[in-house]
Amino acid sequence: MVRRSLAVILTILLGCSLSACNKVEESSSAAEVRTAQIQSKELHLPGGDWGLPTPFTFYPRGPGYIHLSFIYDTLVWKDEKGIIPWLAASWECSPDGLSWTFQLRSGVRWQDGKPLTADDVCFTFSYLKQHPVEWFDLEGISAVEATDNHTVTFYLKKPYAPFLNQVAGNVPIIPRHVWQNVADPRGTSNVECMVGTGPYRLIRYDKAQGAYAYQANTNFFLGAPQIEKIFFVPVGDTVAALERGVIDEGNIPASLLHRFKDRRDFLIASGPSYWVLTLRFNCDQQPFSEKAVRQAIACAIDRKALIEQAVPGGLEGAKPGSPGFLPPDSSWHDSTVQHLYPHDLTRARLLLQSMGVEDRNGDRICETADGSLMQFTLITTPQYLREAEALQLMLRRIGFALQPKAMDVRSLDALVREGRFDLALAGHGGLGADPSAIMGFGGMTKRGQSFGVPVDFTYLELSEQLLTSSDRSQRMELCRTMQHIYADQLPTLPLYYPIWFSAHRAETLQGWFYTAEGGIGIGIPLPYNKLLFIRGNLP
Amino acid sequence: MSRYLKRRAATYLLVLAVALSLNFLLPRSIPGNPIEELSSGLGNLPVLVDPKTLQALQSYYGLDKPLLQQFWSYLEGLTRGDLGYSISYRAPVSQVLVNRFPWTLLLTVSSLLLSFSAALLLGSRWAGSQVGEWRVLLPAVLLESVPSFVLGSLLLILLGVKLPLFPLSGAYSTLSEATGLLRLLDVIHHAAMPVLVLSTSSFFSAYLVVRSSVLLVKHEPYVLMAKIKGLPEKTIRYHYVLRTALLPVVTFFGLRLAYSAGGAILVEVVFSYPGVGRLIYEAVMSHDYALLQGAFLIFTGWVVLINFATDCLYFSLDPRVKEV
Repeated sequence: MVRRSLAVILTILLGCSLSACNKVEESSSAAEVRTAQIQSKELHLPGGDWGLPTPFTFYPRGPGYIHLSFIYDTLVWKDEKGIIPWLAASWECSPDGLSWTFQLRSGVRWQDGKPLTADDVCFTFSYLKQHPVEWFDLEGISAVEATDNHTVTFYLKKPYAPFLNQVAGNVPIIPRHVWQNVADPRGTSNVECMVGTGPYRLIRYDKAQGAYAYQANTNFFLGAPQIEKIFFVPVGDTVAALERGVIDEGNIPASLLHRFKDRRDFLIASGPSYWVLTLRFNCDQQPFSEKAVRQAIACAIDRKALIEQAVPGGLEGAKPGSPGFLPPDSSWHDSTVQHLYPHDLTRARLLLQSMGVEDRNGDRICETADGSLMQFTLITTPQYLREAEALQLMLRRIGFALQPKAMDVRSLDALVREGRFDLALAGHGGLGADPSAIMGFGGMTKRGQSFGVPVDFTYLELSEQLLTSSDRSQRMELCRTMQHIYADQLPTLPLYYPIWFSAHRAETLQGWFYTAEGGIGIGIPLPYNKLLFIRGNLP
Repeated sequence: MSRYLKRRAATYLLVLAVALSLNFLLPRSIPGNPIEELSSGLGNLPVLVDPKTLQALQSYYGLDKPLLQQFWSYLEGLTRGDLGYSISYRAPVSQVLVNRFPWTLLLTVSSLLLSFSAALLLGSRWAGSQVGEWRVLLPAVLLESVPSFVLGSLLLILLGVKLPLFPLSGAYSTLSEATGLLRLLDVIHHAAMPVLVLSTSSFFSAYLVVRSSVLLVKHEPYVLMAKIKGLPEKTIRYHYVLRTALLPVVTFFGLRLAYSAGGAILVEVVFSYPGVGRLIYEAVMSHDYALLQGAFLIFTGWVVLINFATDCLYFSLDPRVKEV
């Protein structure tokens, strides 16, 4: 008995001593850590390996670009309202839309002390043409010229309306003196190449654990950032890490929002996800090749009810899908298309009957005139099985029998791309980017094939005009017409647009925001805009 | 080396050669390729790459060459110890694996040692006991029936958040400058919860193997003779019963050890542990050929090595094998 008690006491003591030896990251005294952080202006964020943050080695996904943006700057940037001057103090577009001239800010220096020149900008684009990176689309640029040390002009092959967002606000400018002798930038792991003009320098990168440590660049052109150190630390469960105090901010699912609401130590920031869950029809296959069948399905689906059933307690803040595809949070959204297909089973049945689809033998499953049963497979990923089952019940009421089938997202993507599916339930983001990039997906040959776009000549012509027109009111009108065509053709049915929630510790840093015009860079809807850390709204 | 061991070694070399070819061919039989994966229409932010860039990337990674030429380059690379370059991790495959493999081994080997030691200790003591065995079997069955990720999440909440005794994630404190003994303690501290979960989930099967083996040996005439001679209970249990009962346990341990290289994906995910299991899952998802080839090659080598080591151990444990 005595031996057993001794063993228990020793175990507890060992546990406590081990806890104590790990004070840097996980101190049990959260208050001490908080005080220290406010004094030293440090921030701990959820980590994950997103590659070495150079333009050639970062993983081409949103978080990878966020890391890159801490070290490197672009010509323009975005805040919570829209595009703002960054490395370029001003810019102008020629009346024909074929050239863009940028006036660089004076006094900007690289992190190694050398001055930034227009030549560095020219070098960046020619070097990226030689060593292409999938994240940067430079196809439309024919030449980049430096008129003087602070002026640079881009010549385009044809007018490109989203130039500021997709190119000037996305491509990081790199120093010629560092990269000119690097023959294989993709293969480089040399941290000395990581010289940018950005507000932070990378001081530690742990690939295996997905951890990063950044130190403020005191010579940053807007002054030394308020947050002096940013740490991205490995996190398994974001909510547990937030509760424990390992991280100061984390993205939380809507279903767990209640845990952080009404708490004094946490604040919640929310923003549009620019993400959509869609029901994709295989328009090359009967009966979905018929517009009326797709419209009937749209009428049979109660999109508001779907939001309530998506997670227990409902998907807070989510908005029902717009048949015109663009989300209500987008400034290009046309609200007149939003209610084109209200939940109406009678209308759905009438539409199906007009196509000869009805229940002829009383088994509650519709058939076509030639006897084909309305039984289909609905492919999806495991996280949307709940929605798939809700759709199965909703469409059963109009005589459509669906069999949900879950698979990984890559396989689903491949099946949709190859047209080997009936119906697919899947989601994607990026809806906050320029409307030409969203509405034109699949419209232009170089774009991805898996985005459904109306097979309609007028629509394709309009998407081309939308890409080249620089007049906002004209673009708005084009966008409106395209949304009406989209809603009429319904190549996919948008089901809902969720809202992103971020919980952050109130006493560490305030003023978290989601970036305007779809998000950071080409539209990353994460709250890690470097402007926040530069301003550092400390409580 | 005896003829038996030479024959075994030759068989394993053949297995390795076949596995090498399969490792090359199987990842390429999945629809799509790693470059196409870079241009995905799904995900949080679709990245749609223009065909010219895709072509340039295919050429950069040598994926535009004929399959035979790619295989030859792969074999050539192996002779130089070059496992290729991981497209998704933007680093040499050997570097990626060297960073991950030791952590997986640490978790799986220590959890196996822990669970088998407990199984041997308890199995030899309680096997066949009418009343006492339930003290072991009941909790073991209960814990075995709980999936490892559920147990991991429960421990995480209990010992990570409510009673903050152990770290929530990672293999070590990334921001700590500790070295030497402190560093070692830090690593043990981080591994404690994942090892506990893994050993709990492998204890029951290990216990059953020990139990059935001990029960078979327990009634052998020589054990009865030892009892009649009046030898102490402990001597009979450990020297007479357990030693003979070890053979199937060693085989089972070898098998578990061999498969342990595959990692414990779910536990690694729950504790955000930088092991190889999660890495392989991500490599399959992104069709990273080079990483898959490299990882599977290491696995095959590891399985073959452990099997060969088990054969050698058999050779010394059971004299009858020498006669085969």
